[in-house]
Amino acid sequence: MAQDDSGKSASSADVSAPWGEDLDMFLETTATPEPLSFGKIAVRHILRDRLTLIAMGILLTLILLSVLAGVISKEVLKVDPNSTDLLITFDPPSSEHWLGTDQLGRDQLSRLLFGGRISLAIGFSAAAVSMTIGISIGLIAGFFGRIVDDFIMWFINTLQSIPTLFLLLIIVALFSPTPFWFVVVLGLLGWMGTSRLVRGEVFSLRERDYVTAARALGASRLTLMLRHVLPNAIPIVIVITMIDVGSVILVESALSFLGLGVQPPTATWGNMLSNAQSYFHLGTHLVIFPGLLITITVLCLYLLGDGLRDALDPRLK
Amino acid sequence: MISRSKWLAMISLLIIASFVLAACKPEAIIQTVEVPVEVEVEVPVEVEVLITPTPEPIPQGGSIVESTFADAQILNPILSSDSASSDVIAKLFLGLLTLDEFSGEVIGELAESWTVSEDGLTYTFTLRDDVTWTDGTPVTANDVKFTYDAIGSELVDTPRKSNIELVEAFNVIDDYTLEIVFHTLDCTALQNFTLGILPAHMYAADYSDIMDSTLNDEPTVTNGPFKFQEWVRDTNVTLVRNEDYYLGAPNLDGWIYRVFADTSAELAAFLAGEIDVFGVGPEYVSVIEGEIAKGSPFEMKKFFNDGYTYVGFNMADPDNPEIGWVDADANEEFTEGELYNSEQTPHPILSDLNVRKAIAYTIDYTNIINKVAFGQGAPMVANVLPAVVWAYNAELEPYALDVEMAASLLDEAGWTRAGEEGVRTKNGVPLALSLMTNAGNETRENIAAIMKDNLDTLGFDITLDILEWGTVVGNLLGQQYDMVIIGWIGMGSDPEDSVFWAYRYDDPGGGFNFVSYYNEEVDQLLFEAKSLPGCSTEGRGEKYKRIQELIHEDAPYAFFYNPLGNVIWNTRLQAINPGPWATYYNVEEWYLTP
Amino acid sequence: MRAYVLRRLLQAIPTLLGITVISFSLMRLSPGDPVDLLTFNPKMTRAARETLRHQLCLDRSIAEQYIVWMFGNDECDTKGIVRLDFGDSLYDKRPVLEMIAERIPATVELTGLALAVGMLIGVSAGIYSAVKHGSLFDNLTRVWAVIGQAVPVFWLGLILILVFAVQLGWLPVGGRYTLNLQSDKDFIDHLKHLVMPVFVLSTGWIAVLSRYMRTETLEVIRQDYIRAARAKGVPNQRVYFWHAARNALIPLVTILGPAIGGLLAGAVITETIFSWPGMGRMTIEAVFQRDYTLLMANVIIGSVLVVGGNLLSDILYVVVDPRIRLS
Repeated sequence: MAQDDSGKSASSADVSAPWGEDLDMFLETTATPEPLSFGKIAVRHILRDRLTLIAMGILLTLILLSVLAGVISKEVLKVDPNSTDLLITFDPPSSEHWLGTDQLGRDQLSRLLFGGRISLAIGFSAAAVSMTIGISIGLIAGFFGRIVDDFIMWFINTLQSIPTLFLLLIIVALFSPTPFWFVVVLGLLGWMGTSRLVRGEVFSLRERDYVTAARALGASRLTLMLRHVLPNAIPIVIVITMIDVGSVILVESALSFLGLGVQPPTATWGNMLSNAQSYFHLGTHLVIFPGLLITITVLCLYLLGDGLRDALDPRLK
Repeated sequence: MISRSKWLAMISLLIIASFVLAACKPEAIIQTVEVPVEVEVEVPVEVEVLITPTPEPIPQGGSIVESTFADAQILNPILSSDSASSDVIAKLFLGLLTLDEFSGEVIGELAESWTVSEDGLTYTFTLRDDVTWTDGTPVTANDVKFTYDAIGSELVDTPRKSNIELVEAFNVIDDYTLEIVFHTLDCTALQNFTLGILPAHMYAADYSDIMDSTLNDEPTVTNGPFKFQEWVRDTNVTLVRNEDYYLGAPNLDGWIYRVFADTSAELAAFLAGEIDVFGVGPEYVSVIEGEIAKGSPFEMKKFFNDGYTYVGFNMADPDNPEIGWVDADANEEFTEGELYNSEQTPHPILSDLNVRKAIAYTIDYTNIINKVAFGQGAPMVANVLPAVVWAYNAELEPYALDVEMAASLLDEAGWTRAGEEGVRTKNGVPLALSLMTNAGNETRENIAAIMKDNLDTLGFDITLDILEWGTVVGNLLGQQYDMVIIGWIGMGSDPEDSVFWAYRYDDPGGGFNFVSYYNEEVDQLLFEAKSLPGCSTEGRGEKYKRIQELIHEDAPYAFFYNPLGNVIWNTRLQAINPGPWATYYNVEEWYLTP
Repeated sequence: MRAYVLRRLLQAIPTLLGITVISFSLMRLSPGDPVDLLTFNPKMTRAARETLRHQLCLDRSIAEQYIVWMFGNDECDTKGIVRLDFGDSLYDKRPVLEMIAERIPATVELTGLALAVGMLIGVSAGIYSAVKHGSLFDNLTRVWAVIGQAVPVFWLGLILILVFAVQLGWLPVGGRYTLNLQSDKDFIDHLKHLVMPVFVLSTGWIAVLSRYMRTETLEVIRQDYIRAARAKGVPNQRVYFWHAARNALIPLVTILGPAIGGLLAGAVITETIFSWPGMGRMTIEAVFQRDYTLLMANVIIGSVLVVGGNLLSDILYVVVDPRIRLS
């Protein structure tokens, strides 16, 4: 397997976004890069896949609720998520506070809504950042080849060789980032798998008959890449990205557990859950709900990723 | 002083008496007691003592597990500075002096008594002559001198250098008499001699092997109630009883420190019976109280920690940190006689006393103590701990929540707004400040969230900076912050705290007066209280009471509370009676009921 | 083959060099300073602080510090990591390699077992699920596999502790052994201590592996030779478990490399929850204390393990899969 050029090289180093190296590998080795007109087939497939549909439904609901967090808190719940009231700390769920209050007497439901907004936003933006970087760098490596490719591969290998949580711990601990920088840092550490994939696409396409034909007809490399490579890679990249979103949410909560997540007063599901851990005996509701929301969201994202992959890969029906 | 032989007789009697009380079998037994008898040369002589039975024996044996949040770092009393190491070291090494567990007064440990010269600069200590190292060598004045001279040695890199700053010389008069000569009169001097003493005979006389000695990891020659057995990093430190301990061998066979990395797991382990004693965080106190109410065999004792939590106000410009004195000799260090630098750029907002007071009046102290600290704290008025009774000013009225007062102080200071909403401004500048604290400390994070909520309502625009501890420390010492929520611990039993208030310590990057506080009278009083001839507590107390008045008025800090510590233990463990200044002072008396 | 291994080893050198540059510069460019932390004590004078900074060579430029750290310097009392001198911990003042060596057994034990358990359960569940493709078992495995990856590990850990250690009292809360004065290490007792951490750490792996094996096996099942075997009348069981699964297992060796990285990362959290005295916990403590030397050594050693794992994976893959030829 000395053929480094192969898009499907099974080299273990191919794998890995920081959080879900395993997943990327899983996807990568099973992805079929063959050009499909997946449009109709995929949609039909998904419509038949109830699990994926449910996952998608739950996700959309959660996203909608988070987007509307402000309105819901103000109009429906009539509370301010940051308003403290030390006289009603750790209140269990009631008609006034549907999911109870936290250690500072803040309404948990509205904090969960706002927290979801940040958690989901961080998840989606970080995944989008790594997707964008991943695709660009993959294309650059594939497009220029030679020294540029060597350098990029060296860089990717290096980044992937440092246990990513170690790297993340150092950055997050030492620089205490805001949510914005969180997105940047997580995005910057998660693009390598995508890059490898895209780069692999470029190289493997060179061998294809129709590409040879197109080249013979005078199509430029750039055109080839944008017209043939990108469309080929995008579906599977989207699947990876879906899963990355879930992984980012988990990573944020793990960092919160270590005291390094997004810092208050900004609520995220991760820091709400890890804060609640110290108070598990005083307010069980504080431990259960954020934990459930994280699990459900990540679960849905993974199921959706799975479903999409199945839909895009005809062999796995 | 009682003559030596009389002393020995009394000690023998005491030992016999204690055995009478402690004998555990109903039939008469013969106990062998080692009593050093003074003849020309000291030779321990074995004496047979007949002991009569008593009905109430103290159970012997068993080991207890105590949990610790962090592992020890180094088991050498002069090199360590972390509390986990100190806890272990305290059971292994005796100090020349120690703190009285209840009063906090400095009392003798190896030192039996001492006298002070007329000028207050020479202390002569008489040492106990019945303490031996675990290898049988007697503990002498030479060991004490060696220990403190080692701290001063260039070859020894230790955070304890300041302990000997005031000392001119340590003179060994004889094996059990030590003289310490000071060059400066300082009422806190004795506090520096509570460190554990090293066995001089185990080290090179020139201190060259102290840093790399294996004894730092495996202190096999000690003189405390327990002996070292093993240390598995990040897991446990195991100690076993010292049969030859001078106060009698402990009742317990051994002592195991178990390291827990997570406090909820630590609590779970206690509830599951895996640990016998630990210091519980305030958030878990109610769990334990609930368990006790349900009849679980736990006991809890509260005492005030020697520290406090506060919010500090930076009174100098954070964009331009300057030293607090006029550096006449331009050596970048404070030299005696250099004057206060009155031209230091003030903080644009917090240099105004009214703003500081307004903030102090916006804090809901009662509820912060009751809810955030779960009731585990007492109000703090100024910089002296209530536990230091002789220096504490009980007449001061602490700041209390008074939003109207706060609003009017702000108006008076020129920070105004139209109506009840929005951010106050003064000359077009918004009333915007940052509030820094360290990530991972939930109590402080919670206080910060409440302060932000309340201050924003009043018309401030507060940004929370919850940063990693290392960054917080950097910003603090660098004086690049507006407000900080932080706390002091380990204040000790003496109220001397010039490092926080005197202008000579207003040194960006190096000093602890990082709020750039200056009050000429406070500076003067701190100096006088520290070097009062005779060091009478009455005289010093007066001065500290006045200092508290001034600090309360100037509000460089707003003091939140003095936290309560809670030691909990399983009632299998008996005779434990923690005091505010020491928990383990009587550890040899602790025992486990079978 | 030898040439291939040699070439891969050579390729690892620039990677390792890159790792040192990246981690070193990240650490030194961060705000704050270990000396401030080491001396955050009102009793330390400014002069003492400067002396310490000088002794630790932290008053030099970053580039200079990097060179000192890599290649050694007598003044700074280090021989450099090229000579395997990683220096002394800023806090414990002991050689960091010694400290790491003390923790490695615990981490290897935990991660190794988690990997083994994960492989065993994950692989068998994955194969079975592929064979029974579309069955209830398959669907349950699929859902469970995603749940396993979706649960925040520390949450799972705490819930397990509360249920199995506190409520039921079946398992110990944490640590490697029940401590006693005799320092006896009882095997059964040790196993009990392993149950929860291994379970928590392997949950994600079981999930990953079962998904992975399911897809691989499905793919193999569809290959012509399997169909041919079935057409020839070889019993289904034999086809699936002998032919299909065996071939599906081959790419599994490629997991070794990333597995090491993933498990080390997981160990940071798991070791913290269960007070497991391993490298992960030491790393997080080193981060908080800014114990540069210790942290750097941890990162480098962790990375070397990953690079080594990748290398081993690649070599094994060549060895195991006859279809791959070296060119």
